[in-house]
Amino acid sequence: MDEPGSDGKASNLSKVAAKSKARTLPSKRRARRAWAVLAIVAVSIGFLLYKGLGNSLVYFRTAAGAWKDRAQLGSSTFRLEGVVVPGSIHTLNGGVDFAVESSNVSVEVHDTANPPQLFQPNIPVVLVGHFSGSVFQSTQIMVKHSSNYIAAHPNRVATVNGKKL
Amino acid sequence: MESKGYRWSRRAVGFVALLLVAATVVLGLWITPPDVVQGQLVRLIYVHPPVAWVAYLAYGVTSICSVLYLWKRTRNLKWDLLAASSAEVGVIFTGLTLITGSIWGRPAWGVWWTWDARLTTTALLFVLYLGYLALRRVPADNHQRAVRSAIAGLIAFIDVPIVHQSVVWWRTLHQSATVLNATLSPKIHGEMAMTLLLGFIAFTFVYVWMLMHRYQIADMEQSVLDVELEQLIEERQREPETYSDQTVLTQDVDQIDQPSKV
Amino acid sequence: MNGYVEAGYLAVLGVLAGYSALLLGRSRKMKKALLPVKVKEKRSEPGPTE
Repeated sequence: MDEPGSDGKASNLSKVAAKSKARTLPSKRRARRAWAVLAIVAVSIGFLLYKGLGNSLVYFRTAAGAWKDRAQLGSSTFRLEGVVVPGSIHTLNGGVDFAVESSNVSVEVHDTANPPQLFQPNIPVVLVGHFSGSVFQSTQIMVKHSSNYIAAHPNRVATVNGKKL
Repeated sequence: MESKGYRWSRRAVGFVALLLVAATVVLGLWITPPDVVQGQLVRLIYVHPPVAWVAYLAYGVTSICSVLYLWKRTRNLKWDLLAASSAEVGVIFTGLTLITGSIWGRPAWGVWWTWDARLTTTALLFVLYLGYLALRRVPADNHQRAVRSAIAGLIAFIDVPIVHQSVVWWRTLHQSATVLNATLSPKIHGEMAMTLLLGFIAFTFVYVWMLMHRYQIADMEQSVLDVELEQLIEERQREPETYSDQTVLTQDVDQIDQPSKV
Repeated sequence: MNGYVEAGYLAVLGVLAGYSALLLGRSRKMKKALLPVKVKEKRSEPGPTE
């Protein structure tokens, strides 16, 4: 009874007993947890499908398309895509004015947010905002860079996308 | 348990993976030139597309193994374990795809995240395979679990071609493919292209190493489960009346040398 | 460079190293549990003192 060895063994056994109990009778608890995770996953899938169908199918309107439909669009918020027209960029106090172009249709833009670091002439951008008269009031500029990668090495390459750098 | 050949090939793959990743990092961070538009940011191309590719590959392997399990002529629980192992590695790489993409998106696009088709379908891919792994944890017997998850794995795989083609099918902020495009003409130059190729190979080796390890663990876990199950059944049959926790435990400890919790 | 590039590489290497460590640890644990099939027949027999 009061042998130290047997005491140590008993406590060791009870420890293993706790462990073993958790191992041998876990099916209900494990099942509940697994179903809870699956429920979270299902909700996430639903959320992503909702977001996808709501946003991704027509992620942006081109400048030309939006200009044509501007009466219909009114002052609703949408994403507008176009290439920044060289020479049109004017930095102002509270933002930047420029124009974007697609299919030879140019749309004037007034932006009130900080442009990202790659914002520059000739780069395609996606703007978030709405029309106000004939000017697109942008609250966010996103740069849509191309899939071309060219080493910054002036002797090797002279053009990107057929445009002189 | 583990053959010598398996151990040595796993070690060789791990060694090569380590070397190739180191080479990719050195070339990607210091040797390759900056890009005309993106400047230094282009360096993220040597990791972001390769980890995304590995995710596709991993889910492809999961799908093939799922089919091999479902097909009665090739049915073997090993296919199920391999499918699960590959899916887990795939989830790690999908997570990395989302993380590196977000880190690249912030300076290049101006946003950490946007709900365009590529990003949304990739997030969906991540969640779908998390669901696959969660489904595997729902208690069931081996065969039931294998069939269930094989079907789930095959359904989830439908999203892989959608992710890849999303930039073609819909308007996205994400760029279209630089290498795996319709004409298969890489739009990237010289040493940048070579480093990108090296990145693809390096992370593929990392995947193979991880898969070999993960599969071996899954295999061992399965045998522990089987041993435990057999023992429990045997013990209950042997002493149906005098069953108590204490008797089970003494034998448990002696016979299987305290296997760790699975 | 610019912080973002380093962060991206660190994320990749960190996550992969972390997962590898996890795999190695689990593998070692499982091997400990399975490989040495020690069948110690040390049943708690009544000792000579009892």
